[in-house]
Amino acid sequence: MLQATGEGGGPGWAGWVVGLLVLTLMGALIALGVRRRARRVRRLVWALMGGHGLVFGLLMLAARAYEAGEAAGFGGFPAPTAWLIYGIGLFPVLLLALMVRRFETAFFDDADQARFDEILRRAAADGSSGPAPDDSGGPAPGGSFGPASARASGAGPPGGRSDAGDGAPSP
Amino acid sequence: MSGLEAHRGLITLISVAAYLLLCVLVGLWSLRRTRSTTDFFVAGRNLGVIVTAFAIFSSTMSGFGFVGGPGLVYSMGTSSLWILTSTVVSAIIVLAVIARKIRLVAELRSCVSLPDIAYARYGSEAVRAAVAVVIFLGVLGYLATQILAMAIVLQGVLRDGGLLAAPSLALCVAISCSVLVFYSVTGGIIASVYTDLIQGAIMLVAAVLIFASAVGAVDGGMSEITRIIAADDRGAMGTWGTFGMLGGLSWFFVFGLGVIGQPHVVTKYMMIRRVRDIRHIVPLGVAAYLTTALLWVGIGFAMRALVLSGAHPPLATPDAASPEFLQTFTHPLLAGVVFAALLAAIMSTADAFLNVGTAAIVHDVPAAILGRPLRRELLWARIATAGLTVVAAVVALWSGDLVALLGAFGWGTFAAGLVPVVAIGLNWQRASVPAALIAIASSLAVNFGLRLGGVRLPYGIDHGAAALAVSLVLFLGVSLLRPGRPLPADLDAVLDL
Repeated sequence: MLQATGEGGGPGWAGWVVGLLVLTLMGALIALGVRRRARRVRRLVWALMGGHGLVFGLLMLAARAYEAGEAAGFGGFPAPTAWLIYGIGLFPVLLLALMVRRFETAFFDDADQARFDEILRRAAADGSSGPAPDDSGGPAPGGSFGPASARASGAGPPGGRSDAGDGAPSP
Repeated sequence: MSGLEAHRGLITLISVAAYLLLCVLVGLWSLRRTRSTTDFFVAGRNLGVIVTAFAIFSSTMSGFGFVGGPGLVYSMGTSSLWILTSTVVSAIIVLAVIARKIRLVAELRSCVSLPDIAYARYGSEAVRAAVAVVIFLGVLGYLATQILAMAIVLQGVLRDGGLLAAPSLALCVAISCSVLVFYSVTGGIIASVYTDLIQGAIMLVAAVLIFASAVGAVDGGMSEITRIIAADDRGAMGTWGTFGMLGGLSWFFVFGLGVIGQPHVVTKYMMIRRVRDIRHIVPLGVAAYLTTALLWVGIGFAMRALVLSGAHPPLATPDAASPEFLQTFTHPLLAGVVFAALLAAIMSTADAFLNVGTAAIVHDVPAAILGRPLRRELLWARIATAGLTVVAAVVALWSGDLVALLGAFGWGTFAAGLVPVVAIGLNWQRASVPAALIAIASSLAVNFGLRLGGVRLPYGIDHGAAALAVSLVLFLGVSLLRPGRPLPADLDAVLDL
């Protein structure tokens, strides 16, 4: 046998728990990134992550059968490995397609860009943001050099430093 | 032996020399386009879709993917597929959680680095400094690994090309680092991303051709490769490979979630021209990465089957799978392209690390300590780029050749230290300064403590995964117990977009 490095994979129930927990965490993070008002997209995210969980379940069942000696396979691999590659690996392509197709609804549209431009204009007027630094290393004329010099020059982020406190500066 | 076969080493040497020359030319080209620290660190926030997508995928697919990855497949069978199969879902997490937020905050606060983003989010110099320390430590280990891999590849190329009979590793480190430093110093991130574009294109072509060669190297193709390996060790072709179930799942966790904490990956989104480009950049990057990963899988499985069937003697080390396959089973012209691609994979990651490491040294640490940026920051950035390379090269020469393990170590360091603080922090109002500091401290303590103490976790659970789990729990727990104060109005509005 060639360089086997295994040391036992742990009890079967632990695989179910860890696998589904990781997929749930991933789904929660994706849903967290989708903005609140895009409820339909969030529901679709959970539905597709549920599908991903189902694929994981099929993989676990196929793995058990493989360990018991079953030889079935597809796509050039034994069944559980094929589930891993084509299922765990490629099933999320559906979710990626959804994210790309619904990008404006779920994440950012032209109205958001307009709002952001307005926030930038206001921040520049307040002196809490500014143009990029020049090579002198000091603040560029009419603006600040990011957060550090903005604070040094008494500009943004509003509220100043809060190392001693327990959160970001207050407005 | 065919005429070309007799000159295999020379062909590879010429290919690699041509590639290195191209990198130097890109460095010269980008010198005129790098006029400020914003150009040097974030390319003036003006990168297009294709350049960014290629920069992201080629920075992610490092020497670990081209050397360590096939080595893992060779030694553990399907285990490392748990790393690759996390690619699509991890890209979705990047798209949803961090890509647009990091871009918007970067523009709002003129950020040029990840610690800048952390400062903008938490308003704390301590958090900025802690993030910079995580980046510096991770970069040093990862960069040293890349430099070592670069030198090992170059050593073989120079020897087989007949240029030098026995080139020392130190000489090869010096040659490869000279090219890397040249284009990284002259052109900063602009040179880095445009060399990434070339490097990515070479990697793509090479990976497709090598996968075809690998599957064709065994009569009967992938099914026969599978049969040979399973006949020797049924577990190697099963779901978990020989690493085991919880080991594989811990890789899926740390690589799937950890990508949003990789500074060399996520900082690229600070450089894009338009937020809406993200919808094209992410799928393009994923497609390119998965295509390149064919080499990882193809060589690893094929080499194991070839050794088992007696077509090739057993390898001295698993990391020799790629070089041995290229030297023995590929056409000389293809081997030349792939060796250039291998160097490209390593250098594209190294230059990205150099850039984020330099930003930590000359931008973030002085800002955290002095409360202002250095004067003539661009000059200092160029000096620090060269200095960091020298330090990493010294570390590389003393660290041995465990490319795969050190690669995973660097990834875990970034994942555990930065995922909660940066990625979740940008999406969760309750995230607080104490939570961020505790998460970073615990991630470093667990990750470094376990590895330096030689502790082996049960069932092959990855150290980085354990560190990430601990830092996530602590970050969420402390933030729930002691939530952060409200954000500044403009930042709050931007993070709510």
